[in-house]
Amino acid sequence: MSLLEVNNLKKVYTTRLGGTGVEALKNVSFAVEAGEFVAIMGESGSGKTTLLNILAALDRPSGGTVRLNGEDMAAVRERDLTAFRRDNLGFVFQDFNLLDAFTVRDNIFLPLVLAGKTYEEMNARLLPLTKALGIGELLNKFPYELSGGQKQRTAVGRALITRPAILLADEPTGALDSKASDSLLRIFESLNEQGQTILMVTHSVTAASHAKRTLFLRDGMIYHQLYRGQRTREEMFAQISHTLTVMTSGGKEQDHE
Amino acid sequence: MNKRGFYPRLAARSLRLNGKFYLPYILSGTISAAMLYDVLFLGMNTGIARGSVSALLGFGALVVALFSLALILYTNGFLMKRRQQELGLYNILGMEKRHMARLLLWEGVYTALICIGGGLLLGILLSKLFLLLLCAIIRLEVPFGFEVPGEAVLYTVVGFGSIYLITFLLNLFRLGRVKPIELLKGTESGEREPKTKWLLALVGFVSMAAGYYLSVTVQDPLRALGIFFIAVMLVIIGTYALFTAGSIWVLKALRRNKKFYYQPRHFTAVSGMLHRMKRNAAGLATICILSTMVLVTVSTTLCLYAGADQLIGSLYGREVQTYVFGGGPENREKVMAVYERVLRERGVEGRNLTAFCAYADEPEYNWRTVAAPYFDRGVTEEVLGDPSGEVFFTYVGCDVDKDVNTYELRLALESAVYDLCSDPTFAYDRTFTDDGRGDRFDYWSSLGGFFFIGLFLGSLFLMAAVLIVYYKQISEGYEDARSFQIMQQVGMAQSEVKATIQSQIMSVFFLPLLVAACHTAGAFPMTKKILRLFGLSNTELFVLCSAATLVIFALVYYFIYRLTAREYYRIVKR
Repeated sequence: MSLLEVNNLKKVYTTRLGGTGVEALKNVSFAVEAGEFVAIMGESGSGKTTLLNILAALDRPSGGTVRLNGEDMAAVRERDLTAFRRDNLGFVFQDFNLLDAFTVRDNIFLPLVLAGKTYEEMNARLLPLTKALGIGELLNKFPYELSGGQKQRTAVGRALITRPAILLADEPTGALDSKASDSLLRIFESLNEQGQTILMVTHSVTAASHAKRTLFLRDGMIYHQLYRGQRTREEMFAQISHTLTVMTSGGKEQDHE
Repeated sequence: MNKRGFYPRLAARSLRLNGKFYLPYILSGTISAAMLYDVLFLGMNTGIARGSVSALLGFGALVVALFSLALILYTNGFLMKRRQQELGLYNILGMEKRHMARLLLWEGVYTALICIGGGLLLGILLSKLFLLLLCAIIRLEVPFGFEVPGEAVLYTVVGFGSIYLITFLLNLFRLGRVKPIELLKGTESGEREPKTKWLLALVGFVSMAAGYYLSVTVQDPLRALGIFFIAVMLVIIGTYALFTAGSIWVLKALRRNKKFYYQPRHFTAVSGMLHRMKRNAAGLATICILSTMVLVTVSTTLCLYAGADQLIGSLYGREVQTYVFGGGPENREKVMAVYERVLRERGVEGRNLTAFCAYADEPEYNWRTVAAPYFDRGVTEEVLGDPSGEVFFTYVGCDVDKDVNTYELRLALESAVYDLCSDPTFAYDRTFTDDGRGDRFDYWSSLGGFFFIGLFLGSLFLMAAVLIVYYKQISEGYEDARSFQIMQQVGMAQSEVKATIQSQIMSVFFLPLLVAACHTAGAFPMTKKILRLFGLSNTELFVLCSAATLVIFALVYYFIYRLTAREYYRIVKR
């Protein structure tokens, strides 16, 4: 059994007056095994954000199923959804979404506080995590005192402190300079090596080249996928770029490995 | 291209688009203008405005005008801050500062026209109502007809015209100083966490304590009036300082308490309040001071008015009254018999009949004060006062209906008492029969005038408090919307969001009310002394009036809370 199974996922947005809907996702199926690092690539409008919102249980699909650890997410009741999301999923957003009013420590604590954990328990989890993320020195700073990279690492800390089954990242490097992007992606790689499952939506080739597998999404369907295998990052970068070129120029290549 | 109409149209459009912010601003401007017109109108109404009432209304007009200026400047500052982004955008689209100045000019012109025009219209419509109210309060016949005194209109137009001119000039000054990039950044810039200001906290604590100390220890009623203003200033300073520095200190202490702080409900509320306490505190302090002003003004004037009958009784006695100095306790029965006979003959019903004999220590026969302490005793056979007093006197008096001519009644009583005096068995040194309706009426009008002005200004202050609360809530709503969205993303349920908002708003909302109630209680000893200046020493009545005012005010406040909390939640939920 895979950690995350997505089967025949459909999402149709209908206008308020009914009429013809827009198919954001036509028929998406894929699976993510525990310990994988998957990137999903696609242009704007390809359905990336819709897919991520459904995986995050922020939106409901029009058809198909999403199973996490074998549990159908559609079967989770509305009022249990918040807790389900808190316990199983960690989020990293493009623009960090840190709360200005909280210190780094409190931003990271936020999901645990909401889950009703005690201070001692939270603190025990905090130290190893912040050390791994390289923000151990910044715990008492406020977001306005941090650089973009530090903010995003704080956001990763917040996502991981609940020990989620999957870390969902939405364009995590979108607001970072190349140096900060690189350091964040290395952190993702090292987290993945320690067993953290990561699903990242991006349109940065660099970001995707760090992943173990890249899925390409076009017009609401999985168009292609690439496994990194034994390839170096540079080779992977070239391969992804090539696929994107083919994809945007309209080719119908189906090169499964 | 038709350039001529561009700025007027753009100004009209931006007023409409910012309706949520501008509507309360315009509404409060309109109401203030209407209130200024009405208080001027009443002051110029020849039928009622005589002597003390006229002076009171003139004072009221001054307070309304000055307070309107402060209120409009405050809300305008708030609006300009919110609109910085819009102006920044115009700037980037190629609008120069002089163009923006033109836009602001047109906006100012529209606002002034609407507020002054609407205010005059509303004021004229309400003027008869206020006249009826004032006449009812000072128990006067309502003058016939409907008039619109040109002078009142003129003063209102000039007054509010100047207020809006000052506002416009201030906006120009603000515009001139600001840099385009700052215009664009607007309110979004992240704010530094406030530091605990020990000195400010100390100053606040000391001046607050001094203010309370002055209030509690003042002895002499005449000095109380002067000290009152010093105490008010001290408490205002103390309130601002303590709200600013004290709240931060308390919140930081709460944050240090990890068991308390790391709970879902407290976590967001404490940090959120701490984060924006710098601006929050001034707003809260202002609301608190305004609430105190409403409470003190209305409760004192209400007490004066409610105690007026007793007060006037103790100052002027009954409406018709007879003093007989000398003789013995048997005089009481005899004079009472004269009263009963005369009243019966004339078909007049006597109310509040008072008849007693008493000793007094007043060699000057000061008939106005000797009987005053005993008016509430009614008819009593007991001989009152200290028997060692030099003077013995008999008092009989009663009140009569409004339509009875007290002058004629007095003449009849006088001649009947004269008849009694010609009876050789009636022992006396000197008698005096008096009717006191004219004096009483003047006093009544000034007490009624006080109450009216108290209500009038109280409602003005209340409106200001409502306006500030409203603006505070919606601006914080916009600031908090993003935070609550993030919290929902990291695992906060809708119901928790609602609970958090509730606890946050509740504490912010009811803190000023609590402190205002505390201030009112603190001012109590001093206001009590000032009331004594007017001759009123009924503490129970004052306590009752203060409590009633507080309860009604709290209800109104709660209603505002419900309204703005709903608006806040709607903004945050989006």
